[in-house]
Amino acid sequence: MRIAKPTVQPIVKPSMAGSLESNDCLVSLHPLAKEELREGEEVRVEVDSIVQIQFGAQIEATARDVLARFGLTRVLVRIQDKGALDCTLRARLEAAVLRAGGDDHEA
Amino acid sequence: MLEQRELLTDDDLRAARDLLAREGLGWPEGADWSTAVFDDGTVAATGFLGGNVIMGVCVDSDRRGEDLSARIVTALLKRANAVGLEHIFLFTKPSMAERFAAMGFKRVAEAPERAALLEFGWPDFAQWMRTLKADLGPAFDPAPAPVGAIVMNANPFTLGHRHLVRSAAAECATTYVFVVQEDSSVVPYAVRLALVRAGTADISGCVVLPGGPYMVTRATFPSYFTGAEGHAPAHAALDATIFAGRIAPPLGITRRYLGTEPYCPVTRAYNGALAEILPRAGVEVRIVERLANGGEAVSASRLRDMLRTGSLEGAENLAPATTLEWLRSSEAAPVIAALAKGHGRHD
Repeated sequence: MRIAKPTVQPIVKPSMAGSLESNDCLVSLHPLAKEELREGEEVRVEVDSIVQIQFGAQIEATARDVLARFGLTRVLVRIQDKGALDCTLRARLEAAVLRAGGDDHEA
Repeated sequence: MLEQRELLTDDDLRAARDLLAREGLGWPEGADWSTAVFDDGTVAATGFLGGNVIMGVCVDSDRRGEDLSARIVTALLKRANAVGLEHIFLFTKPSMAERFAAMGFKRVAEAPERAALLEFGWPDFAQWMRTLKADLGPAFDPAPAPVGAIVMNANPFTLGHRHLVRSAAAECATTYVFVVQEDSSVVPYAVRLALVRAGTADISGCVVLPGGPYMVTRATFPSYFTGAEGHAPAHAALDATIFAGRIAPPLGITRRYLGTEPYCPVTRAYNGALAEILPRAGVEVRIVERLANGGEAVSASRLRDMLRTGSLEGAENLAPATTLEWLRSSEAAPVIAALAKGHGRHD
């Protein structure tokens, strides 16, 4: 399993990873301007899942964990989940973060 | 074997066109990128991107339930993202809106039985409205009533536009003038906006604002830019529905002012749709007779025709001093040259 190194990576551009197909998820990352964040907010996570009631909170926790490991702030993360496993979700989040930093490899 | 790629060859295009026709869809106007899922050479599903608008997403009805539309939409979203488009629209039939909502698209508006517009990405409608209200500041929250609104392309700003703004401002405490933001006209958006600001600076209660992504854009009203008259009623209805349902209420707008349209059939269809749809949502439509001189309506197209000849002789009968000053500046030279060469619609 590929494990991305937790480095501090400032986000530079919007990015996307994953897909809308079954058992996957589409992660979109949008840099936010300071005035787009609410008071005291560093990261905004929005989850829309076909298993929202059972796993919505867990998906959000995973997203926050990955972002924290990369030291990303001032960012909106949107996750459109079609039943991805946690490892898939992590891989998609990491790919989106890396692409936001300028890495355009397919993942 | 399923293979996904861009439509490339003439055979690809023919196969995609056949699929669209079988499913009752026309070829999408203004598309600049496409993708399709091929199965042994036949097209099982396809979809298109024109600027930041997804259109013509179509799956062979014998292939439903294979998640092909998700594949197509994913490819289109990623392509848009890769070329730096962070906010993406999707134009579809109302009957299809639910399927795309399930993929995470948010509904902007729906003109019943005609067209639906959905969006994906950031900033979305709610954020756009928050920013607009923040820019307006507390003095306009709420704005002094009655609040009128005008949407204009102002390509460029003429005495006709000024007459329309003054007519509205004479009857309203606040007049919002939205300048079409889509940069498809011969006069660049930044110049159009600046000339509207300069030409209305002395009119009290008039506030000039960017039209943003939801008023007369390639997403809300594609035929305004392509000139495709056949689709104009559906597009016009969609644009009018967005204004009536989503833009007017949070800004307290209760009147929309229009000029009479003697020439352009697409604009006339638009005025018709506004007159039909806005009053149902409590927004009154007031039509102002066009300013005329020399027996002819003062219009931006008349001014552009004059510019084509290379002479500004008599232009003061059509444009205010603020616009004339720009037309005489070196900044206007490339615009006038483009006009002389013959620029397209809304030129």
